[in-house]
Amino acid sequence: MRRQGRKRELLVVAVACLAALAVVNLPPQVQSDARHLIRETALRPFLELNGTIATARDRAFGFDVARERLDSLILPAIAHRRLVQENRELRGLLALAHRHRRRAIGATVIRLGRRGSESVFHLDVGLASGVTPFAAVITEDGLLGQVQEVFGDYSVGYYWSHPDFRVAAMTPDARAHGIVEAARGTLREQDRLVIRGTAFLSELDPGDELVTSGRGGTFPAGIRVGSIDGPAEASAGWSRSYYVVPAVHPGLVAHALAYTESGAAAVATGSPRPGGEGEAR
Amino acid sequence: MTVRLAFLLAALVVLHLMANVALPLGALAPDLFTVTVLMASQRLGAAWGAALGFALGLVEDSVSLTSFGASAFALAMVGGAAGRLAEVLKSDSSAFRFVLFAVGKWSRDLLAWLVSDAATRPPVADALLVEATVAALYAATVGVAVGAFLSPSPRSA
Repeated sequence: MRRQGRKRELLVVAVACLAALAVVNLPPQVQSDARHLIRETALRPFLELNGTIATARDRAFGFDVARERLDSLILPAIAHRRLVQENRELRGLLALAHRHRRRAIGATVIRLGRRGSESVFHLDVGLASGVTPFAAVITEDGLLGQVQEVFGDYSVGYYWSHPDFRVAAMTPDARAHGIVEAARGTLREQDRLVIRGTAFLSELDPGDELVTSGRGGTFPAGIRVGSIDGPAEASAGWSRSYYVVPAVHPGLVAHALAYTESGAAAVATGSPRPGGEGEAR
Repeated sequence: MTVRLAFLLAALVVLHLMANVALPLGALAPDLFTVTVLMASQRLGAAWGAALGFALGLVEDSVSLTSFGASAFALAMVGGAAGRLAEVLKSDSSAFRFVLFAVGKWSRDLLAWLVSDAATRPPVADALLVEATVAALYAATVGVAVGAFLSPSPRSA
């Protein structure tokens, strides 16, 4: 009787372990659906509580900062209107088409602290708000990350610190181009970025700014990525790599803007090439 | 299963989700899912430990974007093995529980690391030698403290 009970116990253990191994090897779309199902059921109250706390904290402590930022935007906005008018007239004289204007939507960033998912965030906007997979997520300081999965009323993305994150970047004067990716610090205490593949002869100095170049079509051009910290490595005569201080520190972000049309989607549908201008709503 | 044990296991699960998803506290929060699974397997047997480990592992995996199922596999394996070990050794002392929780938590991290996506997992030295060891000692301390609320395990008698 006892031996039979032990056999049954071993069978349950074996089934649980094999089922878990099967889950690991499921197709990505099925895994995504399963994750969505669990988030919408077991995790829903906890994710909503996280979003509520983040919003409340932002409202409680962010009013003075928001007022300061709003004030600082008034003069540039007045100058911008005049520039837009001049640009429109000049494009009209040159018979150029209107620039493609991207739109972005404000979202609460729900940060997850679990070990192994520190680089993942949730946004409280999804398909219903027009967010698409691979859309860039930005703050007023620069690039925060990228949306990966989009569902009805929320989306999931990763910060620049995720190992899969890549973005084409350049100096604002287009002197040097390269691919920026995350460089993990020992024990995660010093996560930063690294730009690889810049031309060997176009040397960069500490403090030089980097912005998205728009190459590849996923990220709009002109978003601040960070600034050069120092050289990382060089392959003699071919290319250089530099460490980059990120423009945005994910731990401090509670609110961000998500583009509602990803560049990848625009390229795929043959829409006009983005010019980097944006419009938040 | 006693009402007290069921209540404690449920409370640990809710506390883990509060600390890791709702607040989130990051490294300050102990891995209470592993403590829950080890406690269940020690008190209720390997089958309960493995089944609970599989279910809680899936919940844990659902918040990340890669390696879905890695935590489910690790917790199911650890739950099954810990149940069997507790049955063979038949001990319920604090020292035994501390070693069980520490080794269980470290093994859980090792197994999850092994089946995770090689492109996105952290380097072995960071993940297993330092982070996992500190996390294992933390989880063991919390596990022993939580276990003090319960009467001696009926399986150790």
